Amino acid sequence: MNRRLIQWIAVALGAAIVLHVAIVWAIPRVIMSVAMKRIGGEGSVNAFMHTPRTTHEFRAVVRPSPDLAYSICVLDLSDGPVVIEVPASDPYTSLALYSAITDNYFVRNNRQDGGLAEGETIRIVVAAPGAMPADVPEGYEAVTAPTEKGLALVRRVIENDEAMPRLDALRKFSVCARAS
Amino acid sequence: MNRYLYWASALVAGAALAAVSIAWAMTALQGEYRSGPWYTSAVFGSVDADMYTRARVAMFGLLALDRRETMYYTAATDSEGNALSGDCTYRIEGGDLAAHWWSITAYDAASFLIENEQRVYSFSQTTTEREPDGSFVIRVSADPQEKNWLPVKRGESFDMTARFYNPEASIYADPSAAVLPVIVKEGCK
Repeated sequence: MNRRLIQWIAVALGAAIVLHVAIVWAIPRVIMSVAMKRIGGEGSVNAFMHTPRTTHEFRAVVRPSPDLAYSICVLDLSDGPVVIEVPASDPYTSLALYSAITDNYFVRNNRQDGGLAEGETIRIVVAAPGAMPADVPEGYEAVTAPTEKGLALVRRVIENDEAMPRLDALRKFSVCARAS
Repeated sequence: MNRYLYWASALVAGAALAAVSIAWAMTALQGEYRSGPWYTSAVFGSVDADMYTRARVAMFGLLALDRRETMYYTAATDSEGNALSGDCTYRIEGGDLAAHWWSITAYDAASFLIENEQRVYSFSQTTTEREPDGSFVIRVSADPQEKNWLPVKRGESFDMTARFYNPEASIYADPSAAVLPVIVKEGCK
């Protein structure tokens, strides 16, 4: 075969492999960063936002669940650890933490370890690697995040249309804030 | 031929090959488990996810939970394997899913909820009207239906996701053995 043609094929294949790996690697990072911007907007970092019930108008994240009341906190641990407190509601509440590359590195629900009654609280302290304070208060679980940026996402099952006011009243007591 | 054009054509061919191989990896490698028309991947959201799974999760199920917390099964066809269409009426028939709580939601081709006047997007363990024996029938259609009507849009394709919140251990141990409702086409317009 013609030498220049072999070189052409080698360049095409090399470019294909490099681009393939680079794009697949970048997809979760780019999408997560866009989602955090869409969800968090400007400035609302390390603070819970309680989204209204999901309808067809919601287009920030694909495949949203209309049966869940979401509370979202965009995490930025670069200035220190963050405290999260989430009062549980029946029949199902979970607090899930996601890294900047989409990994779900922590999850806690209202039914584990004997279960939490309505209104009992999930309490954690989240810190960047190596930044966990020595004095995590009693009753708080210490969670080390793999990346400084990320998301805390609370899901509460909305049993029926009548349940929403009760969940709204309860979730107002949620906390996501820089540890002082 | 111009030398630059010659090598540029190699790069363009490489880019095209990358695009085709990524599109293939994102779709062909999907759905590791199947129960009837319902597909699931057992690695959604977990930290064991590889590069491809992460990319797929980001594109098709961002912020998913791991399988002990929630399992997601998606059906894009009826039980006979025909693509779901808003021109048809489907009967979803089954019993309670093996989970602490469950729901079944319809999504449009862009993976968003489907606009309808009733603002009904899903049926769940607590909103589904039952038959006397405890089983249920949900009808998915662009036309109004008696009881449990899940509206979709005429002329548009759609799919459905069944969510198992805190599934029974048997479900995540063997996702293919999960019992899910059948999806039967009743007629088309």
